[in-house]
Parts: sequence; C-alpha cells; structure tokens
Amino acid sequence: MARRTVVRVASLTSAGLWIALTLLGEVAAGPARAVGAVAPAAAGAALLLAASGGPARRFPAAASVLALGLASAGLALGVGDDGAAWVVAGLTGACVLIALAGRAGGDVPPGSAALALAGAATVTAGLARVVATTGALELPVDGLLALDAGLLLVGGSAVVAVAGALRPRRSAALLLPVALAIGVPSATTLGAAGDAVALALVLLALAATVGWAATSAQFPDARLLSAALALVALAAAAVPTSGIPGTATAVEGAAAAAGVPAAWLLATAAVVTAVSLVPLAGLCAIPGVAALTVVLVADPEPARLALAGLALATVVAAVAAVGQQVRGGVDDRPRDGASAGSQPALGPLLAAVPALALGAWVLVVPTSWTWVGPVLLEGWSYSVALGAAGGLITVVAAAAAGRLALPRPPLIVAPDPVSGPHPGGSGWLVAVAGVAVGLALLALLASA
Amino acid sequence: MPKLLLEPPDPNVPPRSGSLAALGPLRLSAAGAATVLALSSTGHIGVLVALLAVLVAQPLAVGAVLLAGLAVLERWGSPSLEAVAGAQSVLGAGGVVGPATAAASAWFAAAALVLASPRAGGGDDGGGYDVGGPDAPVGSQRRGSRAGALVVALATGSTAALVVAGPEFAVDLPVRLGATAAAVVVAAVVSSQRWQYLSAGLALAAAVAAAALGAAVTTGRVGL
Repeated sequence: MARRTVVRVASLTSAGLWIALTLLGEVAAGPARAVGAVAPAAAGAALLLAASGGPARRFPAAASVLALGLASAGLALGVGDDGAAWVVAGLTGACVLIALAGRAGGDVPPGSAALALAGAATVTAGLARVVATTGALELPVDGLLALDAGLLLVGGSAVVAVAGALRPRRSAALLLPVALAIGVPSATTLGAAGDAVALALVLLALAATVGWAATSAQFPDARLLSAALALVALAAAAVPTSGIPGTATAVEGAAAAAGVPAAWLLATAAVVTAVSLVPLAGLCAIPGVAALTVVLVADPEPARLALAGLALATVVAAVAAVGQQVRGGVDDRPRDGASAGSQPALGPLLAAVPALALGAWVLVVPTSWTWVGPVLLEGWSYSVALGAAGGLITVVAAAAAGRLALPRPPLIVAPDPVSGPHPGGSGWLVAVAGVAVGLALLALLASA
Repeated sequence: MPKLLLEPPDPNVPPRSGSLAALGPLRLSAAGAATVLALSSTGHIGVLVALLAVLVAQPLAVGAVLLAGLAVLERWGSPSLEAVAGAQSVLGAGGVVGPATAAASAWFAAAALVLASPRAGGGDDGGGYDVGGPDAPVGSQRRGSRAGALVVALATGSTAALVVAGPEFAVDLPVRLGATAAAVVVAAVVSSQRWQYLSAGLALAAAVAAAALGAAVTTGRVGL
C-alpha cells in the first residue's frame, strides 16, 4: 500500500508540473523543451500512472516510476537535434521496464507487455529506416518520408497506443499518450498515402469495435472507446493536405498539416477516457471529431468524405457499445483476476478529477488549446454557452412547472420560522418568469 | 381505475435502447439547447449535431443525425449556422435553390432529422417526465407525453427547417416560420408514434442519401 502511495504521489506531482508547463506555454531547460504536445503527453502519462498507483512490489513499482521518467524525458528531449531518437529511446525504454516489471510480478500480463514491445520494436525499425533514407535522427522538414519508414512509425505507435489503452489502471497505460505523441507527427509524413492509411486505421477501429461488441460476453467498457479514439486520432493526423509540409521535429504539436489539431484533440479525449474509464468522458471527443469532419469536407474527395462518414460511424459505434454497459448495469468483477479490493478508490479519483476537468475544458473551449494548432472550430465556445443557457432554461422551466423531477438539493437555508412555508401553486408563474428572464439573457448574449 | 401492479418490476431491467424512458434532465436540456441554436441560427453545427445526438440517443438515430450534419456541411461548405442561414437569406431556401442534387440532399437531411425524433414516453412505460408520481391521473400522463413530444419536436423540427428552408427570421419571416411550424408538427407526429426503430432506420437511410448527394455536389461530380 505504501509503495502504491509513493507511486501515486510521484505521478500526481509530475502531472501537476507538466500541466503547469502546458499552461505556461513554451519552456526550455537546456536541451529539454516543453513545446507543443510534450507537456500534455507527459501529463497524460503521469495521470494514467497515478490512476493505477502502480504495482505493489518494490521492483515493479520502481520500474513503473522509472518508465514514466524515461518516457517524459524522451518527450522533452525530442524537440531538438536528433529528437526522434530521444523520443523513441524513451518509449522503448519504458516498454522494456514495464515488461521486466511484469515478469517480476508487476501489474502487466505478458501478453500486453509483448504487444507493447512489438510496437516499440516496430517504431525503432521505423527510426532506423528514417536514418537510412534521410541520414538524420529526426523527421524531415519537408514533411515526407519514405513510405516504409512512415508506416513503421505509425504502425508501431498504433500498436503501443492500443496496448496502453487496453490496460487502464495498470502501468502499461502510460504508454498511450507517449505513443500518440510519436504517432501523430509521424503520420503527417506519409504524404499522399495518408488517405489510405487513415482509411485503414478507421476501418480497423470500426472492425474492432463491432467485433468486440458482437463477440464479447461482457459489455464493452471504456477501454474500447479509448482505443478507438487513439486509432481515429492517428487517422486524423495521416490525412494529407494539399502541398503543406508536415512537422519538423518529432513531437512539435503545432504542425501545419490540417488534420493534426483534430488528432491532438482526439488523442486528449483518448487519454481522458483511459484515466477516468467513464463512458461519458468520451464526450470530450466531440470537438476533435467535429474538427476532423470540417477538415475532410474542406478538401472534398470521395475517399475523404467516405473517411469522414466512417470516422463518425466508428465513434458512434464505440459510444453505443460502451453505452450498453451503462444501460445494462456495470459488471464490477475484475476482468483479469486481480483483487479489486487491493487498490483504494482515492487514487483513480485523484487522477480522474483533473483529467475530467481538462476534458470538460476541451469540450467547452477547444480553441483555447493553442498547443494543438489552428483548429477549425470558430464559434464553438459561443455555441456551447448559448446552448447551455437554452438547456438550463428548459430544465428549470420544466422543473418549476412540475413536469420534471430534479434531485432535491440539500437544505442550506432554513425557512422563515415566523411566517412558515408559502403555499404552493405558483409553479407556472415561476416558470413564466424564469423563461422571460432567460430569454432576456439570451437576447443579451446574442447581441454581444 | 388506479394502477395495480401485479408484480414488482425487475430492478435490473434497463430502459429500452433508444426509448425515451430515460429522458431526463440531460436530454431535456439537450433539446432546449438544440432548439435555441437552431432557431437563432447561431453557432457551430458540430455543437448542434452533438446536442441532437444526445437527445435522440438511439444508435440508428444518432447515426442519422451525424450524417445529416455531414450533409449540411457538404452542401454549404461551412460549419457555421450563421453562414447556412445567411446563404439561404441571399440565395433562397436550401430545399429549392442550387442543383437538384443539392436541393434533394437538403430534403433528405431534413427528413432524416424529423424521422430521428425519439419517442417521448409518459406514464406506465417509464417516460422521463414526472407528472405527479405514480398516482397521477392518466390524463396528466398523456399531457406529459404530449409535452415531451413537443419538446423533442421543437429541437428536431427547427433544425430540419433550418436545413431545408432556413433564411434568417429577419429576412424572410413567413418562410422560416412556416417551415419551422410544419417541421415541428411532423416531428411531433413521429415522436408520438410507437414505431421508433422503424423511424430511426428510415432516418438513417435518408441521412445516408443526403450525405451521398451532398458528396456528389461537393466533389463536383454533379455540376453546379
């Protein structure tokens, strides 16, 4: 229990620092730089490890913390000369440590560790191809790589990301944001082949979603949603633009490729969902899906419009499948045989609260996330504010008219002890007055 | 005659997928929010589509709403509702102007939105509106059901009207008002029926047609 507490505290502290760096913008400390997606990805990895609390035994616990440190350091050093090497080294080192920890009684089964290692090996092979074709340990400035190098990087990142998404509340989960931080910039280097790769990724996500929902004896849970969002994020980044170069370094977030901002938003949603494991957390993917759709329709070709439809279908299918879990009752039994009572609920809660807050921020004001780049969601925040006002008026009016039962709020002020409670029957007056005030506020808001 | 329960209901029976048995504050607020956005023709189409998706909830209907939104995006090339209404204010109603394919896309999208209207239940089937509790007279339960159908119809109908005949109110009030009223009436009728799965399926089919026609226009395969 004490080791888990140490891991949790260290992870939460790390997450807090990285979130602060995200808010500060670009920060440099020697060769390490927190620019673009570096700080958000590192914060996501820390939150995922904090949600798990790590394994209970000494070496696995230390290995999980060391894995987080390696991955974060790799991201921070990835922006600069030979940046791709540092990022890939950090990811590979983290995968090896998690696999070793699993063998020593950690919280990751051999299958997941093997999958993560296979993905890391694929990414490393992709980096080797980059060196062989360009002679440099970084992604090219002009945005295009040899196709095999790009495919290896994207494919390996997808494998590692899925391996992390399918093992939430375990050490391996921290690999999800790190893999996406490699995969998203790598996907921009595919050039004209990006359409086909994006289509393949979305079809894979859709097939996995339908297959899991159709064949699983248990209801699909939020792991499915997180994995599907990760794959759609990589697909969004792979969508090529007409003649605009891709990223210059491995993890620079503000890329010129049009699908990258949507990809980062979707990646954020995948991480938030993996931290909280609440299906409703998938709502924070809405801005990413909307941004991706706008990008695809802006440069319409039949393949891209089909991709837009498939991406929408994938997200809908994943949400519907996971929603069955909510409507059908949650199965609280641990799925991998681990004891559910060995981890306190406080740890996941402490990680999920900031994650959900960030997710709500993405949902309401996605345009304020400048690190994702220029996202095509003008007017989004205003729509959310206007819609929230309209929804609130509707609910209040319905409740005041007695047509909707709301949970009774706790009593914080006692009624007047002299005159006593007022008689009822004024519900309609209250409703009319409330609607009138609400409409006036709406008019004021619309005139702004 | 008071209701007489013969046996307690299974506490673990979930609401029917896509039914309005679970319509509560969340979906009611989504309906109100969507109505405000559609009537004011303000904001981002993604937000409106997301609110309608929360309202309709049933997977087929959600797919229909999303594809209808995609069709509108393809038709007008902008996610801004102000742009959609403004273009119709200048050019004319979306269901009339432009090539026949584009107009057909608008009509199919509107049909999809109307057909996606979820059923607003009430009374014994666990409808989402509390109309006085289990001892409320049946009449008040029917009023609750009609109120629910109206709320749902306002959201989906006003959005459908925006798609097919949505000039700004200040520019062409009779057209916009008439289209909105007609669409709300049709949506209310759909919402009050019991064949929800059939209407959701038809909505999805209409939405697919709308998206396909919109794609044909926007990719230039059908001349402008």
